[in-house]
Amino acid sequence: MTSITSLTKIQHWIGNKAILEIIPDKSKIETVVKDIHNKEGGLYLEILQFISPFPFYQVLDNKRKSVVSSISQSNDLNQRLKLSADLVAIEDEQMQFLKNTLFTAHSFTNVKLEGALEKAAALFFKGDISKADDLLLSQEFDFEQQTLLKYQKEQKNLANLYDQLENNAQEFRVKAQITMLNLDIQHNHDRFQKAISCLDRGMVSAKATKRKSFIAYYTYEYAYFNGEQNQFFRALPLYQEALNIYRDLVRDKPDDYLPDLAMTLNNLANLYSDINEFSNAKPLHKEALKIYRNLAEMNPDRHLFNLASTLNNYGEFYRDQNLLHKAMPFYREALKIYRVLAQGNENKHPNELAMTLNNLGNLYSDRNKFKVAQRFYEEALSIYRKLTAEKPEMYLFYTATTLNNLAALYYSKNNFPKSEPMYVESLQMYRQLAEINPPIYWPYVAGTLNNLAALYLDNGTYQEAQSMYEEALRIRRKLVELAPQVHLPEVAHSLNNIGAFYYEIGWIEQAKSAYNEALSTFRVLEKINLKVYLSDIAMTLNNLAILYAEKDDYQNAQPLHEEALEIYRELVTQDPQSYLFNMSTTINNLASLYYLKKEYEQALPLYMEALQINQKLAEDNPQTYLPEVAMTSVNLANYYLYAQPDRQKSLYYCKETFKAAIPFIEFLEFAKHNWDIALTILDKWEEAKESFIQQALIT
Amino acid sequence: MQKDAHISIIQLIKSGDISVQFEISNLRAHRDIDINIRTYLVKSDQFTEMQAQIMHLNTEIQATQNVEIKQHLDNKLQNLLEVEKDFIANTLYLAETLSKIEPRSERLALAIQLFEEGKIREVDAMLSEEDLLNDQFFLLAWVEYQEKKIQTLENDFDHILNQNSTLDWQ
Repeated sequence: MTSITSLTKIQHWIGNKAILEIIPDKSKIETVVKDIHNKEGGLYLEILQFISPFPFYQVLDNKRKSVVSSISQSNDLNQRLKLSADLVAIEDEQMQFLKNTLFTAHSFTNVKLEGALEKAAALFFKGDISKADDLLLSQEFDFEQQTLLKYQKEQKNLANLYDQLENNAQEFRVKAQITMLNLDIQHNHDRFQKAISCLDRGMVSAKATKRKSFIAYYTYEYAYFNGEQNQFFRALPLYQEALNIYRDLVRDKPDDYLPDLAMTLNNLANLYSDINEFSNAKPLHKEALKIYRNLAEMNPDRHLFNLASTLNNYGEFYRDQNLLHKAMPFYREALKIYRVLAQGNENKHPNELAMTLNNLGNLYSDRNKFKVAQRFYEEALSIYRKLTAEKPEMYLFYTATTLNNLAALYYSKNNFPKSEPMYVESLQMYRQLAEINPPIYWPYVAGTLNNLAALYLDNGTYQEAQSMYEEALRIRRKLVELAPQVHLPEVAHSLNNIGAFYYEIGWIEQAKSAYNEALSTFRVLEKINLKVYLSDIAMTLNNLAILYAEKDDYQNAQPLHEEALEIYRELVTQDPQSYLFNMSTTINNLASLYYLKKEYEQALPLYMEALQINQKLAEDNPQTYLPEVAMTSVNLANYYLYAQPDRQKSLYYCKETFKAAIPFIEFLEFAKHNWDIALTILDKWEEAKESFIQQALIT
Repeated sequence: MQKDAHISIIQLIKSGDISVQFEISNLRAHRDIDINIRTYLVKSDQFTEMQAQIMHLNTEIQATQNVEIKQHLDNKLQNLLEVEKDFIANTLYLAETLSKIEPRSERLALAIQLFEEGKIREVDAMLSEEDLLNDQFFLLAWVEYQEKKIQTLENDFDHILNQNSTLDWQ
């Protein structure tokens, strides 16, 4: 390797830039000598300037000049031929001398020019080869050289010792990890403390090597160990320390250490996200992503997968904060890369591909982008089905979950014929898994039973719905015995669902008791975690209010509706997308209550507000919200029939009802019900039904 | 020809057939793990002892009619299942570490070989803390001596250089 300091010193002595460029590279020297010999190339003057001070070259050159002069003066052909041969020989010797001199100069670029060697080099570059030679043969140089050789040998021994210290540090690290497996130490805390003491001992060895790269590596691994054992606050300063060292190393050797730096940034960012310190995590994610983008561009084989993982992490960072729109582009880019990676080999990272597809499906489903979500779920499902065929114990769960997600998506669009078989298949898979590991998979069985029951309730298959709701509740009550905090909210949800079901089939007392139990459970849970259960309380209040209203108990119903509406109005200000529909339903219910109490002035503005909200929601998502538009429209048609008779307005809302309900009446009980009410209203107004509906649907 | 039944857990991790992160996320989310990991784990005495205890507790829970005893046994079982989960996760983390280490001592090479055979207790014994500390003590002392030696040589060298520093660069 060329020593920059040596070159600087040589530059002081010769100041010839062309030569300084040539001498560090042997192949350049060969080329230059060859070019000069062939009288080619443009460096003749620079080379001449360099070689001229060398006395031996001068001797040869004088000889050459004299032969050239003799040739020009001689008329004897034989003598001229002999002189020409002499000239060639002298020129060859000159070239050989030039080459040797340049190679010697090259040797000086390779060594540290200090002491006697520096003196010798200075003499050489001034052309004084014989004095340089004398110096190199002197005792002074010999002593220096011996000291240097001894120094190099001792350095090598020290490097060997550092290697052994590295190994010792690694042994302590393995010892720490094996200690975590030593169940003869009874308590996990004691195992951990012993492991930490081993890692600390290892750190002593690591630091004694004075090798920055190993210290950074060991510190990173120490941090990683703490992260694995959920000791986040112990891991943080260690990652920070590793990061600082890697930043230093990157300054000198970016190619060698950028991947380590990016990985440390990534882990530290994930750690900050784990402890909800998102503002600290963001710049680290950003920096890691930037580095991986550059690395992947230079070496896609090695870094594309890491880039995709980093994008995924960034997506999760936003998803954890519920910033779905910000998460999406990162997931999409990660997906693109996983697809590229899968192109070469479809067995490469199939799980990452399927998982990203599923995540994207969830994101788009949450944003009511049905078609896009459907496409992602279906592709994920097809990958998981393939993986399940190979390794059912690993992937059956993922197939079941993706099926469940897809079924829920179709259900949200009221597409029951598509949704039902998927829920059924998913349920069957979860039951299969629950047979092997009941406490883990029973919650999934209960969840799917609930989903399927809701579907059966909607399409009027009550017997099936009842048995599923009841089985789900039984499972959840059983699970509460194992882990109350985890499963109590699920029991309350089940009670609410089953209450709604009993109400639907007219079992009012059973419904009331289920709702009351659900409400008191949610109120208990709300005290523990205020915000999370507010919407559940509002929903249950609403359900109970409807039940009281149905029994003409308006006294009890009204405050319940009002409390529910107050909660929803508050929730909508924070998250309109999630709660706007619930709010409109509650407004509609309260309007109906005022209507039943004959307080019409109160009812009308509420009906109008509910219709307005539902129409707005249906603009973005007609499949889900048009049946709701039909319901509020028919309520208004009814209002203008009885409360404030107005034929024109009543018929107008009938028309709105038909238009909104028509796509659903074949399979959605709720839509058919409102359609039938509108028909009855037409009868009351003595309107010809067929032509009216025809007219309504054309417009 | 007899089929080779040996499963190298370290090799499976190195080749990417087992992703430690994926397996651990499955484990933490109460899902099952790769069959090759289970095949490896049953080679370990500690794991099989734990499995036997779990089975025994399950039988006892089913046999007893006393609600309080049932609850007590169930708590014990849940704790043991948590220990089992941690044991599997820590085994995977260790396998991942070993898949990335180049052993420079016979002892570490042997420890890796024992781990592959599922002999966890033997790995623990092989890496005796006392031996590691003795090695460290010896190495640190030797390094200190060596560094001093080098420092002396550097001083000698500087001395020579200073003596010759009359060189005229111009």
